[in-house]
Amino acid sequence: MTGALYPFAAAGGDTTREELVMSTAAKAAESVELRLRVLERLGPSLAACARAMATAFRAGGTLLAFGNGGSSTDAQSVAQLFLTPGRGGRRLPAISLTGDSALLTALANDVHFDVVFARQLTALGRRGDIALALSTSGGSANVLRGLEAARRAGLVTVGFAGSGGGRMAAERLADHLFVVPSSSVHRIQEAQATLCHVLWELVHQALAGAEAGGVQAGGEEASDGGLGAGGVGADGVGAGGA
Amino acid sequence: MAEAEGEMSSLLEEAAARRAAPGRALVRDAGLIVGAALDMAARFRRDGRLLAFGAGASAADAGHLAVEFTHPVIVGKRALPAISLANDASAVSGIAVSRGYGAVFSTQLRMLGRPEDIAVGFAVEDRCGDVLGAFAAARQLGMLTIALVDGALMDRTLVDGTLVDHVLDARSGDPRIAGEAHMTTYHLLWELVHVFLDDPAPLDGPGTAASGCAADATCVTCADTAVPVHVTELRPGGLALVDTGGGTEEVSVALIEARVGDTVLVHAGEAIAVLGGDAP
Repeated sequence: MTGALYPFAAAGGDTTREELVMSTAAKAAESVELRLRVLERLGPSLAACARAMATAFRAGGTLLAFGNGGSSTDAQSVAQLFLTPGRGGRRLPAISLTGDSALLTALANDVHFDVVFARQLTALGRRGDIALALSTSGGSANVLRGLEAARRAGLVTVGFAGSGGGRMAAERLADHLFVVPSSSVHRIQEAQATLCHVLWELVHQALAGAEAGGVQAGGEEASDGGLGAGGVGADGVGAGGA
Repeated sequence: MAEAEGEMSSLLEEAAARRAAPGRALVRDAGLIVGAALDMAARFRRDGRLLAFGAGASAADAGHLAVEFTHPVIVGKRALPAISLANDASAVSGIAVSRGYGAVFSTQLRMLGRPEDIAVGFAVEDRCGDVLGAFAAARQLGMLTIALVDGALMDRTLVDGTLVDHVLDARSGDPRIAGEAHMTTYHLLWELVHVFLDDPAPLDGPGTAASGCAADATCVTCADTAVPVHVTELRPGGLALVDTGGGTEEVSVALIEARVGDTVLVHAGEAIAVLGGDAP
């Protein structure tokens, strides 16, 4: 089973540490190359998506992010980035649909796991909001049903997928679709993180550009320079007591 | 409009350029990642669990890291025990309200951590809050400690290795880019842990930083030769204190039935055989 990850390791069973270091280095190199390649290829579409999102934010829209597994925490990360970006960043309204275990377990238990995002988007989503879906396969039923519900409700739909794009691409379920061309779930997630971070920067640039053009912006200007360090209190380094 | 498009295209070029150097640095750090994974695999083999923590975007990374280990993306890989200390809003806010935000992770670690466990903490953008205190608590318990830090981290005790066993530095001061490097790092750690669990041969290689051993110190039981030592005290979590003849060290006795007074053969921090009882 090691073979799937490290083909040479299965062959002889005498993998050396040096071989593992080289293989790890190769994967790290593949990761950064993929990030740079998708930025170059998808850059113009990313900019168009950022302009649409900036328009939505200016009109009072909220970002709703969702995904499964590792992509669920990546959705939380995207929502957190827009909501509380820290130093110098403008705070924008954003919610992750993956963090409320009461909602998720209620919907999964009482109805079906396929509806965990669709029901939330139907209830929470308003025309002009933004639905941002993260999937590595482009084929997760609950993510796709979420996008369908979002579109019906008049939200701007943004989809991230990998590999060939799956049903998300085949059925054009997102207004703005970004497919990372890789067969590795991990490399796809890594490139998607980069795309989301750069998308966030582009949204801010688009908002700043619109303001320079005299359009009143939504959102709240951050003045606290970030959340600030939590500080090391009584439990801090060297406090000793267990 | 054309001007705005030009600005966006230069932002895109600049965003790519900012990622190139940290990306290459991660390639060069492959050996450090392999070293950390090697020690993690040894802990999982001793039934250790992984406890992950971080604040802000790193809280999401802690959750992502935990789900990688508990529910592997590759079918057939075994589920390894891992939890995030950052994603239970009741626990986090409850501790923050009663004891202050600076106690959120260290409190949980003291309650949940065991000596054989692994602490993986994210310290990004100096918003690490309780992460330093959590590492101190984890180390006090005897846990393996691994820090994923950003390139702008100010606290030198994290960077110089006095507080943690392994420091994996994203080498970027931009918290978003650091987070991206961290994601690649923990994906690689997960893969490597399974390689080491499936095929223990590389575990015999030299250069593992066993818990509690300073890299530059002479540590008899971590050396790449099997040495006989004398068990002086059994500790929780399959550990024991041993007399090496040159001093006292802590080793794992999880693989053997060791009693106080036994002479055991130790290889790379792991007792592998009982040679006899009540040796001199």
